[in-house]
Amino acid sequence: MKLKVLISTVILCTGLWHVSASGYMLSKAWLSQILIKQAWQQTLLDKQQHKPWSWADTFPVASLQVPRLAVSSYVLEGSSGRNLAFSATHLSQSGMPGQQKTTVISGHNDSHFGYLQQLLIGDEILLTTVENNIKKISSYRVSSTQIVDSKKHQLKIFNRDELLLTTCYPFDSLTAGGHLRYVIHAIPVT
Amino acid sequence: MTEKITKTRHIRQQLESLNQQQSKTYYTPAKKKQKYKGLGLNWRDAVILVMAMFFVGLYQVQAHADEYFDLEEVDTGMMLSYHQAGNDYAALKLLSSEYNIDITGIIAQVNIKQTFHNDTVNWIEEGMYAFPVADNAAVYQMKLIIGKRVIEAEIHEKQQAQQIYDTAKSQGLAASIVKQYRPNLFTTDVANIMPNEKIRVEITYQQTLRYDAGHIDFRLPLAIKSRYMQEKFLADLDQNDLNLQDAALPITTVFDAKHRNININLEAGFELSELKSLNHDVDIVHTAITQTISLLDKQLYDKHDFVLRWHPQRGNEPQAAMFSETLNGEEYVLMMLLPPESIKSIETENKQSREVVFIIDTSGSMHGNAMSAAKDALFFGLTQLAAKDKFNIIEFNSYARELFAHSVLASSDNLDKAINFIDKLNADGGTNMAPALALAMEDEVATNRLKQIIFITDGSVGNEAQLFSQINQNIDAARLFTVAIGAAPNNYFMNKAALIGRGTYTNIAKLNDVDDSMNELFIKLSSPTLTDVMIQWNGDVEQNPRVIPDLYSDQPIIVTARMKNFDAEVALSGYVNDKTWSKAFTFNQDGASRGVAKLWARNQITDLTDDFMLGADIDASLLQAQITDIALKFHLVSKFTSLVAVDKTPDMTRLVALQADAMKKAQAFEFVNFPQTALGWQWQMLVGLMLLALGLFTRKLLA
Repeated sequence: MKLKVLISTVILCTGLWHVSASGYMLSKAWLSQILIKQAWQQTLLDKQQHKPWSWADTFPVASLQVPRLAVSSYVLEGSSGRNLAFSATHLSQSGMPGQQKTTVISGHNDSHFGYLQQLLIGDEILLTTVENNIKKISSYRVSSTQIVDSKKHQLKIFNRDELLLTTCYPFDSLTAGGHLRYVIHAIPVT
Repeated sequence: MTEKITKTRHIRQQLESLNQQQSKTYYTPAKKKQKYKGLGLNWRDAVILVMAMFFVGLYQVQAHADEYFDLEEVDTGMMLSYHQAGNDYAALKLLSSEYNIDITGIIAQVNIKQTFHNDTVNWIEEGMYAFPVADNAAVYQMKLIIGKRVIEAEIHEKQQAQQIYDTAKSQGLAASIVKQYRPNLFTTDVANIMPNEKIRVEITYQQTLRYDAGHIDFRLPLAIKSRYMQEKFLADLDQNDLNLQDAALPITTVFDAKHRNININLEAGFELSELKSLNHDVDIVHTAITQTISLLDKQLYDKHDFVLRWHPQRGNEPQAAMFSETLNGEEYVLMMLLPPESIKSIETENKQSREVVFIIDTSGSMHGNAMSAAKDALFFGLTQLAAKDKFNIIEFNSYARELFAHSVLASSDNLDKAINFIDKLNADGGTNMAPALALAMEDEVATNRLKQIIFITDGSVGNEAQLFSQINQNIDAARLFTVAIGAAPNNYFMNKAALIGRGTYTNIAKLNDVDDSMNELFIKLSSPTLTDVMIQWNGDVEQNPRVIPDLYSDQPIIVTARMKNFDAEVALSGYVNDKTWSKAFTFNQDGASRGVAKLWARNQITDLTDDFMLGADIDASLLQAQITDIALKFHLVSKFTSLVAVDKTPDMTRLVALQADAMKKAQAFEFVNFPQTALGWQWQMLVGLMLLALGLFTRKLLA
């Protein structure tokens, strides 16, 4: 009897732990947005870099809007796993909008970049950045979408102005760690 | 620089178009449909598959456009693994590199030991070791140690090499004939490298160094440049480390353990006025005749090649250095004759008067820019003449025509005529060099004049052998200087003609470099520091080159010889400004200068080939036998010999392991280069909720 109580308690606790851990992940992803938003607005005001919280080792570098879907994301610098947990991120070794270099922005498919699956060819993407103390909005148009096997392919940074949005694929996958990536390619609107 | 870029671009374009073609043929719908029929797919699936394949193919083509890991771009010793998916290469981690170099005069013997580590989880089926060697260097020894396997390369006669290769292949052994993907890249295939295996490579090559602008440079390619950075290495890095990029450091440090060890033993043969390493800190220990140079910072990483530069001290008169090597009871000698300090000390009035004959190519192929560049070169040449010099101009296309019947003094009157003559030159007709050369060499050379023939052409020649023999027979005391206009001349002809004519070869590749190049040539022409050089050996000697060129201010004379009865006494003689000059040298016979015999043998092979080209009465098969003989004896790669690498320790267990790996590979984890872009909360949430439900359920059961 006692043993059974113990087992059921253990099962309950593990379940609780799993639920709260995933809840924690989700709430972290959503709550951090408020702080990142504040930091970004501060950046837009004084054109300086601001950490979203004092112990962060990253800062927002851009915001991304999709007018048709009325959605937006804040983009943190550096595509490390930790940064990705908080928001969409900008790959450090890629370019910035307006530069003659591919800009790569990645986000989780089950949180910040979930809306990528709704993007259609021809959709406009706006990127707000700060360049030389000036707020700058760059406009891109989705030219193609692709599913890429990350086992076989690597991200390619070209010497031209273009935007790549990447996230994991498939979107409704239950587990993380898959090797397929959904890549949206967008070209500058001239 | 731009030329190089265009060249690279050109090659790249070729590769792309090739790749495009390949992907086109590979992804032919018909083929695919058939293939997938076997999988039980309906036509719709097949069409989707074909489309997907097509896009993947496009993706690859695009990838190559920018990041093709081109063998063209290998710039240090690298172990590469072939990736069939992208038809490109990835570099293995470099653990250490050790360079031991012996330099004797202008001969560098370079021994390189590199250790690589396959720190991936992948079995490398097709690998390759590549090392960029200078164009005047040749690898003659190679040893690969892969785990317990030893692969050694040996020089064999070509057919025999092919046989060894075939036999090894048929026995299931790894073998490879050392290939050259481009003239300056040494490559050898390495098959079957296991995960976590270390590979030791040892190669030895001999390089002939160049003396240029008063110094000799020895260069080692050390750095793996940043373009080899693979995304997977980036992915492994913490983002903070990536800031290295901003510090302009190559981020490749990740797969390079940065361990370098360089030891150089330098015996320059001359007193040195300067010895330094251009890019790295070194420790230099001087002894009586040698310098020992070693790298101070062994944990080194930067993007520069290692360059050691030394300036031999020049005197008031020509100086000589001698090295000898004893091999199989015979003595091989290398002699370097260094020009004296300054040519400016020679006053203009003391200069020997000259007779300069310009030959200009006015054939149709010169039409346009080449013709005007050639005219510029001619005009420049005329301005360099002193009043006491004589000159003449010969133009040729299908026929040859000379301005004056015999050379005339460079008076203003005559120069006027020459300018008129040049202005009217028109590029039209064929290329027939022989009559022009005949005209130029027909007059006997006056004893007190230096006769110089300057031959300006775009160098499209067909009958080389005949021309060589014509020059050889009629050159007499004259010197022939060849000047090629344009980017793609017949370098072989131009070089060889100048060599036979005891002159030099100038290539003006870019048409706006005409003045600079001609200026250099005329400085050279106006002041040979020693002419008609003779070497008086004591003993039975085979010397190379047989006819010694003149000594000019910017290049030493290099002579190699084989002696039967060795005598350290050598007398040198020649003319300095029409006055005789002679000097006796005694050199140390230590017989320990490595590489001299090899250099002699290489020169000997060139000589034999030239003899043949010059139409000497040699049987072609005899010549082949002679060259093969020398090449085998001195371990040289030649037209008739090649370096073949054979796995000396066959290990059948590897084959079994290879098969096992192929099966394992299907599920093997590989590096993910895309950021991991899923939180994965759903699964955890689901598991959690299910556990909660189960827990509550068991609770209920208990109650």
